[in-house]
Amino acid sequence: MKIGTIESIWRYPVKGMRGEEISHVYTGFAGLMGDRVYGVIAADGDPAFPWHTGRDQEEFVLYEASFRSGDALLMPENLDAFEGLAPGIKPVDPSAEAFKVDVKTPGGATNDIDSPEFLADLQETAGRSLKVHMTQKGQHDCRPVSIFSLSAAAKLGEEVGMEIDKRRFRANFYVEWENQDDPYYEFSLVGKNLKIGERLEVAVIERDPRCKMITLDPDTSEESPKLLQHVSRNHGGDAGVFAAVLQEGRVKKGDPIFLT
Amino acid sequence: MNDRQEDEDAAGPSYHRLTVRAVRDETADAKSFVLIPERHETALYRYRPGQFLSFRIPHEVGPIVRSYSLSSAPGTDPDMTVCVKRVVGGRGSNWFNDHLRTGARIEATRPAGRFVLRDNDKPLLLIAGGSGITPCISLIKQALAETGRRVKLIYANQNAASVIYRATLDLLESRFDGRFTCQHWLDDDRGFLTADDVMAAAEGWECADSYICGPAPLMDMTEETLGRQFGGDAVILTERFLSPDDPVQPAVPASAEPVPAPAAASPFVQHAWFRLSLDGEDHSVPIAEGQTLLQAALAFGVDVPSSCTEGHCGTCMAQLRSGEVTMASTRALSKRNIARGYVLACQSTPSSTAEIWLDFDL
Ligand SMILES: Cc1cc2nc3c(=O)[nH]c(=O)nc-3n(C[C@H](O)[C@H](O)[C@H](O)COP(=O)(O)OP(=O)(O)OC[C@H]3O[C@@H](n4cnc5c(N)ncnc54)[C@H](O)[C@@H]3O)c2cc1C
Ligand code: FES
Repeated sequence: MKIGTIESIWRYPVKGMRGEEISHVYTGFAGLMGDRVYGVIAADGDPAFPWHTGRDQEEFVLYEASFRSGDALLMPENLDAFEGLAPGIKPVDPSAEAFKVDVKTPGGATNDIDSPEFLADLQETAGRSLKVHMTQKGQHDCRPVSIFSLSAAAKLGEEVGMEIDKRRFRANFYVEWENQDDPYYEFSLVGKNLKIGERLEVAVIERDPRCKMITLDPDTSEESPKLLQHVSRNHGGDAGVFAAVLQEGRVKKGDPIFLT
Repeated sequence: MNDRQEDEDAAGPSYHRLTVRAVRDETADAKSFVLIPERHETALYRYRPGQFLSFRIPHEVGPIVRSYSLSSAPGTDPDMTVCVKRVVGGRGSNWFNDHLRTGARIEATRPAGRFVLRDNDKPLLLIAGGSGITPCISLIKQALAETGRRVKLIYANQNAASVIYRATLDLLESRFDGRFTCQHWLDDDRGFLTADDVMAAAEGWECADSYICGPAPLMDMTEETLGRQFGGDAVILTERFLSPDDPVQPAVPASAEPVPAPAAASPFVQHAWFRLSLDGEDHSVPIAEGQTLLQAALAFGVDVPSSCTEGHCGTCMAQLRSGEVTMASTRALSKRNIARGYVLACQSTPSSTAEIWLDFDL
């Protein structure tokens, strides 16, 4: 049964920095290709959550990261050949070279994230000792794929009495549900499996428990604590859902979402 | 004493979030709920068959607490399960049945209770009525799967349609043929179970450990009958399904003026109250030594925003307009937050005698 449509696809080359909207992407067991492959770790960070993010430095959400290889990091090469073999054969991921990231700071300077210049500048702005951490496996907080509906963003805005930009929720897939009655329809999908596009299959595992990140305006980094307060008091602290990938596959904007 | 025990001593039992993974209809008026703890809290939810969880349930008069026994057993079931049967006019049981859906979260204490197997190899005689099957089936599953003990269950219900876990009981009976007998008793066939019926069913089980759980009159009669029949040394354990008395709801004073504290014995006593602003209203919140500002506010019935209670998420962030606090952790605060005088209520305890004013209306 078709229950919705992919409205937009987003990935975050660097955990905590601004995301980029992409038209299509291969989604593997570790999440969207290129999603959160870089992160920044603080020397004085909590061992259980050492990441330096907008929680510690609000302007971090204004840093813009992009892959130098452009479209090469959207699809594995020869994907058709792998898909032709048998369902579920995992394609070969792009080479390490394709994962190079450039970061544009809010001040306008652009640097290779692995360069000493980038790190020196960030450490100075953040006032703490940091290091850049890269792995080709996405460095997500909880689960590899996050899903959020436009109806939830609109309804939260109405409830809190403010204009809410969906980007605050830093989801991978923003969706439009067929169900027009329940703006938080994604919550009812926990425990269910979804097919997205032709092959991708995900299991919706849990609701997404929110933190200070959603209080930050993605364009100004100004905070609105009342949004998180409202989510905590009226929605159990949750907004959107997390999913795990059962079968890898490509997804493009406008793809249908089915309940399996 | 570990940190968590200290928390519990300071602010009553602590509650943790469980996610409802599945809801199943058992009978027309009872549902099972499969519950999953947060990943980092799975260790808190190790339990013994026969134990229960106490849930904090939203209610218009303020949260109410209801206990439900686990019908699952850790050795045989992957996840914790409780089964809640509707009580006519009951607030907690109907809330569970009407409102608790898959994917929802609910707050519960850690498992507790002494209605558990004794460490011996005596046979087991269980007498259950209605929803009283829940801890009994957990004990039965453990005894059959992990011990060689013989087990007999006498299970009383009004009629065939109200029997909970019938299919599981049938399955256990066929799988453990010879070791497990389940004797159903249906009131609409034979009337209420009497002392004579209990004595007849218990004959030959004099050396068993007995477990009784069900409606009060059934429990009273059975406990007395078995006590007489088995003699003074017999082990007879009971679990009574009662609701606690309703809490007295604190009247929240609306005055912005803190109520003056009694004469100070230690500097801390000056902080017996603090001022809290939320949704444009002022509250004077009493605080006990060792409590965080968040614990004090929640205990007083003020619905302040909070989530992780570990200084991680920033939900309890508020502005300290006056007074001084010590924070156990400032992890969720940025330099900008600190410069604006923001604190984390879940991490803050008063650190001087200056009057505290905590403002959530940021
Ligand atoms: C250790 C333990 C384990 C338990 N395990 C289970 C279990 O596994 N399954 C299960 O279903 N139950 C279990 N219970 C029972 C459960 O905790 C509740 O007591 C039960 O669900 C009834 O709660 P309620 O809130 O629905 O009813 P309540 O609201 O407490 O009402 C109970 C009765 O009182 C009446 N009543 C309510 N308010 C008033 C009032 N103001 N004045 C007069 N009468 C009133 C109601 O009409 C109803 O008949 C257990 C209890 C304990 C202590
Ligand atoms: S409740 Fe999460 S930081 Fe206080």
